[in-house]
Amino acid sequence: MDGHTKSSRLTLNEIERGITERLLSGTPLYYFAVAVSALLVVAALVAGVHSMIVGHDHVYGVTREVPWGILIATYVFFVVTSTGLCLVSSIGHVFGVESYMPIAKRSVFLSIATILGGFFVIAFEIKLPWRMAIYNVISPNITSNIWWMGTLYGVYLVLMIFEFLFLNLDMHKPAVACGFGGSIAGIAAHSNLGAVFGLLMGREFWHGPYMSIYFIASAMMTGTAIIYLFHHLAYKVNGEKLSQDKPMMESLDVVRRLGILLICVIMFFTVWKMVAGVAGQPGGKYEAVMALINGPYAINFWVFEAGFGLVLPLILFYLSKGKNLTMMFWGSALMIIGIFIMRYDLVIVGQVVPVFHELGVNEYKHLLPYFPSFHEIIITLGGFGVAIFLFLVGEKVFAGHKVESHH
Amino acid sequence: MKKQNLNLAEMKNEGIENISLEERRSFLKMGLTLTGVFAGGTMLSAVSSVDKVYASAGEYVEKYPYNPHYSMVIHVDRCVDCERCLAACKKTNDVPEYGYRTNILEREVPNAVGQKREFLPVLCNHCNVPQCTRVCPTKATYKDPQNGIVMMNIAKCIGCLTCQLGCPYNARYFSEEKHAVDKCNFCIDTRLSKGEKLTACSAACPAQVRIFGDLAVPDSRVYRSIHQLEKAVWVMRPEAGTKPNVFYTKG
Amino acid sequence: MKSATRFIVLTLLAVTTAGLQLGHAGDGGGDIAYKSTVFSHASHVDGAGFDCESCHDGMFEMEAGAISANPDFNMNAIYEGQFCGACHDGSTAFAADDDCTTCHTKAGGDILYSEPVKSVLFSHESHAAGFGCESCHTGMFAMEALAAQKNADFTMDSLYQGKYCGACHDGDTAFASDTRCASCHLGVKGYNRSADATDTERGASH
Repeated sequence: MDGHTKSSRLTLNEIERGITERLLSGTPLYYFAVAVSALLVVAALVAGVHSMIVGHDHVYGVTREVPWGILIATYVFFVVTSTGLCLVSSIGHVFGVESYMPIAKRSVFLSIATILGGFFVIAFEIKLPWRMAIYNVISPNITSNIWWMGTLYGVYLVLMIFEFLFLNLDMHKPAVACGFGGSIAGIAAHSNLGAVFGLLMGREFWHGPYMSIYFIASAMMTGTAIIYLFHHLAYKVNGEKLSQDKPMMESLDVVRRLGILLICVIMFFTVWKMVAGVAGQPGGKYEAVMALINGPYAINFWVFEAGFGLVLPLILFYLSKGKNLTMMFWGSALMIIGIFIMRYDLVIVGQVVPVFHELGVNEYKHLLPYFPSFHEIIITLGGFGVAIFLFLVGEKVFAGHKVESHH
Repeated sequence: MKKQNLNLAEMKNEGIENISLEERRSFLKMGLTLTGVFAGGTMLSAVSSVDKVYASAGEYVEKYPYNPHYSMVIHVDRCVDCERCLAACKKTNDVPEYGYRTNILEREVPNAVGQKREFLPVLCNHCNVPQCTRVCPTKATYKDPQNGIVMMNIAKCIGCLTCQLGCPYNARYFSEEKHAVDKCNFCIDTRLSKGEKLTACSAACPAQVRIFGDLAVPDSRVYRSIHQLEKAVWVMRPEAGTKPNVFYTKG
Repeated sequence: MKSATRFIVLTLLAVTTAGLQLGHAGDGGGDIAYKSTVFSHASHVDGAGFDCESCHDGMFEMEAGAISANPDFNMNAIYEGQFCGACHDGSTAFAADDDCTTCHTKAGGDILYSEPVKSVLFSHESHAAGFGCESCHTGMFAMEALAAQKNADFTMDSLYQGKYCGACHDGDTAFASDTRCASCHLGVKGYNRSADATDTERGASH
């Protein structure tokens, strides 16, 4: 324990008073946002419990041939975001890059908030989640990527919570250890998430090593956008001016430049993924990629994935030169929307080509339909509600996640 | 079945000059008349490919010494979609209305010469390298070590539906009544363990389409059907690498 | 007042009678279609000069097509002198078992058997060219659609022994009946698709 911590140690009474004061010091807009996000969570709970009672098949849009829908896409979105936040924040205090330090605490907190949002959504997607809690432990299947992903994300969550705890207690070395462990667990879990899709022999759109590799880069890209967006919002919540916080501005500029690099990486990945799906017309993959290029998912791909998710943020991030906060804000916001559609397309388009498509039978001549149902949309919004609620309350409770220099 | 003598010389010829250029081009496009390729599978009677795909050849016999090694050979040219097999399966195994354990697909090729339609029964292939059992997080589905049937342990199923995605044959569905994924199990619990020799679908078929038997017996119809070179035998989606135990043939 | 009322009543009567005449004027009834058979009023009224009461005196209702609800309306009854057979006995008009295609213009249409399996298609169109009605309708198959499926021996074994379709589909005259199964067997799927087909005689759904 170093000398730093003694002077900043508060009594429990003081901590409690501080939290209460900050929670009561919000603007009306703040309380409105908290109320809306809380309502979304409640609505999602109602929709989710209802779907459990009547049976998923009656209220979700999923079918025998398209069993994974928007709920899985939302889960993937949150889990990928969480991993990305963990990895970007670990560049700071795990690998000691000073310019990443100011964003570290909030990023770790957000990685917890987003993965909890993901777990909230998946609890309503899996039909018997209580059995998972039992049989994942007593009957594990080590060839199952789902099992590895679930187990490792559990480990990851614990490590991230401890890292956040240690960061707030200014216990630097344990924080770094947890951060490092969390990063390893995160990468391992995340690769397995990619492999859940990528190792399925019957689904050519997903099959291959690409998924696991692409997901890591995509996670970090998502992380940079979330970091910018939520820091921008956090300063509004705390009533401070972001442009006056020099260390933070420098840190966010570094994150911006990392974001630009990762957008270029993902663009490269995406181009080759599409080319590989078209050249030679590989069975199963070709129909799926064409659905994205000029089929029913073309708007999703060109407008949202490419436009909102990659091209516009690249332009805005570059032109902002780290100084124009509005451009950065919109670049991040558009990227997050685009990335959500990326996850949706990934999950759905991988299933819309029927497994027996190549037989040419009447039953499977066309792409399979899927559209999210009302219940699924409400639960998706609830996931966002969980993350946003935790973010908003966390800003007040943890006093803006201020970071002190350790050197 | 009574064998008819096809006297090709005396058969009426509609006149090749009456076939349009379009039809001729389509016929060529359809490629080989080798039924294996035509049906969307790989021609596998050639000895060299056999062990790459068949669950009953090469190293797989030693690696997977199931006894009995249940298998089904489906003669697609005999299927007339009377759907008695579907009805028998539903009745025997209490399959709910919204699901099915086996299905019949219909392929229509309007440009085909001669017969323009065929029916393809599909069901769980009880693969030797199953994708479903590999991905299940809780081992709720597993391959029986004795007889090779891919089974369900419905108590452990968490309903993640990854097995549905792993299966290249759309053989699985989620049963609300059982609170678990359900699929064909070769009627092991409803018939085979009770002394019956055939599955419900195989017994119900009036046209000898589904031949069910034991590959561990070299004398059995299924063994003799598969291990011969004269008639094409294929499996569905060999590129998925699953080494299925359900085979397709004609004749 | 009295003359006005009388005028109105007379006008109404005149209009009604005229209306009745108009309704049945000109072609006197038009073509009536009974499945694959067509009864032409024109050839009987204008052509042969018969008036309405010749047939519409109890034998046939005025309502078009009403007779098809009668279960006895079949060729056997006609041969015995009922219905069309009252005149088409060979003396008043051509015999009912002669010149079938005069009335059976559509040559039978599609017959979709649903027993013993669902479903088997017999298409008159693909068989009628070159074959007269008597090629098959001489005892092997009744004129009445779907009569064959009432027989317990309407099975593939019978065909292999030369009965029913097997009389020709033996491998010599036409393709053998143990080949090309799905050419005729449309299955349950074909049966369900034919629900809206207008010129198909479908066996009952069970």
